[in-house]
Amino acid sequence: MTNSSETNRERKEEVKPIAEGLFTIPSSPEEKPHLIGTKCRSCGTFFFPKEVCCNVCFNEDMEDVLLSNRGKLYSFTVVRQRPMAYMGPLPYAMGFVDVPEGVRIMTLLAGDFEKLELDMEMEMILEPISEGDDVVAYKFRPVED
Amino acid sequence: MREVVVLGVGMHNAGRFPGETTLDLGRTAVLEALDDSGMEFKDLQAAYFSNRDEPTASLGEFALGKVGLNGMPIVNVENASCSGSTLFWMAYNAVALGQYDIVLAAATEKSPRGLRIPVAAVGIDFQAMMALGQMGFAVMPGFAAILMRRRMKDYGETEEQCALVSVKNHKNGSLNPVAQYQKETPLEDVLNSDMICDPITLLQCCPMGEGAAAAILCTKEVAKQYKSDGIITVASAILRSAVEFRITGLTSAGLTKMTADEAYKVAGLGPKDIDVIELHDPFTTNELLHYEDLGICGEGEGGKLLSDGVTELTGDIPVNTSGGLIARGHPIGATGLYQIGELMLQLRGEADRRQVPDAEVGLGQLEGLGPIASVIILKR
Repeated sequence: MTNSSETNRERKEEVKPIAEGLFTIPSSPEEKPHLIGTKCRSCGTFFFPKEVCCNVCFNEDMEDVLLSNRGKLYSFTVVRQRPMAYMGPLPYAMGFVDVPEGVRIMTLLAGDFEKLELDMEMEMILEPISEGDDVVAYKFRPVED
Repeated sequence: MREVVVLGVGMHNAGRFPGETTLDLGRTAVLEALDDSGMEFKDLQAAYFSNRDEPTASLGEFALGKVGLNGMPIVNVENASCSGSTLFWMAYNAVALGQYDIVLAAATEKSPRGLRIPVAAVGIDFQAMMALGQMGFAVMPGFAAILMRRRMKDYGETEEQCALVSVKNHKNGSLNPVAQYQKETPLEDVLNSDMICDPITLLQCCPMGEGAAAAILCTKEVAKQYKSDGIITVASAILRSAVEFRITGLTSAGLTKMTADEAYKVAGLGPKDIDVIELHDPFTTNELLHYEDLGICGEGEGGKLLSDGVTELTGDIPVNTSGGLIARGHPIGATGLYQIGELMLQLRGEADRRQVPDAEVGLGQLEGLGPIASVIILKR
């Protein structure tokens, strides 16, 4: 029998984030990934990606916070032409997800994009941009009830 | 503040010109502006110059050096899609505030083909910025597409209404000898062209291209020494950046509305006084949004305003009579001055087959990555 926590630990060592500081990588199957944002300690505004100072009140006292990994799909598109720097499959869906902290997250959308609808509940996952990659990016997909 | 006028304008055609250098294009536009002003190069007191895509320093000195040398200060400016309108704003201020009596604003551009990268929207470190590019976010029409899908749900706008922006602007472009595309494109052609980002098709995206444009601004008093007619007054020229730089996603709609409100206030005019508009239509969705920013219709009414024909050449407020960015073209640094060029023709009654009858007041609007917004109002 395989020890699942050990397998996951091994997987974690293999998985590389597309950039440091964008999201957490779970160390067990029970754990969910989270985007890492910043919160202004003065006015309470959240940011993603992280900001060194608050763009609303210009305070520099910022703290790192884990954002909710659920939100609502604001809107999306299916991109059918390859933009510069993108190496994944075409077409692909990208859009914006509003998380409860008040941040509109620009994100790739996973799963069957024919099933996407505006305002639907979404959850964040980690996935390679291209299948088989050991580098993972954050994506949102519809919540399956 | 002194009263400022536009004395003359010059436009090289927009398009692709493999036989001409960036400097050649600029020379054509500047010579035409001087000729239109009845002025010689030596009369200029300062020049503001723009170019977005050449990887060289001080292009303005090189380009104007092909026309003349008179020792005047030449300043090179880059301000994204607002570059040309920024030059105009600088020239307006310099003349209005009495620093100079005669200022040239000129821009020349040879942009490479293909999708541009909206990197400046991502105010973060380089590694994270690259990551966002690798994730496929560097796709400008994507943002217009995302906005359009939201508008379709919120306002009941349709893909056809969105595509009609392109039909209208290509129709106008077919009447403009300066335009990059001078060909009418029926609705079905727009809808059936390659899908770029649903629901935005290829013919709903502005082309990248080449071109150059120039304008000469001076005081009303000085203008009389050169010309007696065809002098157009600058009623206001407003340039702004954001009051908040949060990545809320899609548009800086609030910014352009704020800029337009200020431009109307300074000019002592309102949306109902405007006879002709040149606005920022890099993608069809943007035009619908900017109708609302400029106050010519209410929020969510952009699609209806268009399909009711109000912004057609024959409508109450014709928009993008030049063909806009979509058909006239978007030689980035020069676009703001192409808008001025078109408005000058309209206000002088020289726009030929696309003339708006008795046009007295014209408005030019642009948005640039940053975000930046500009609104300029000219009156006869």
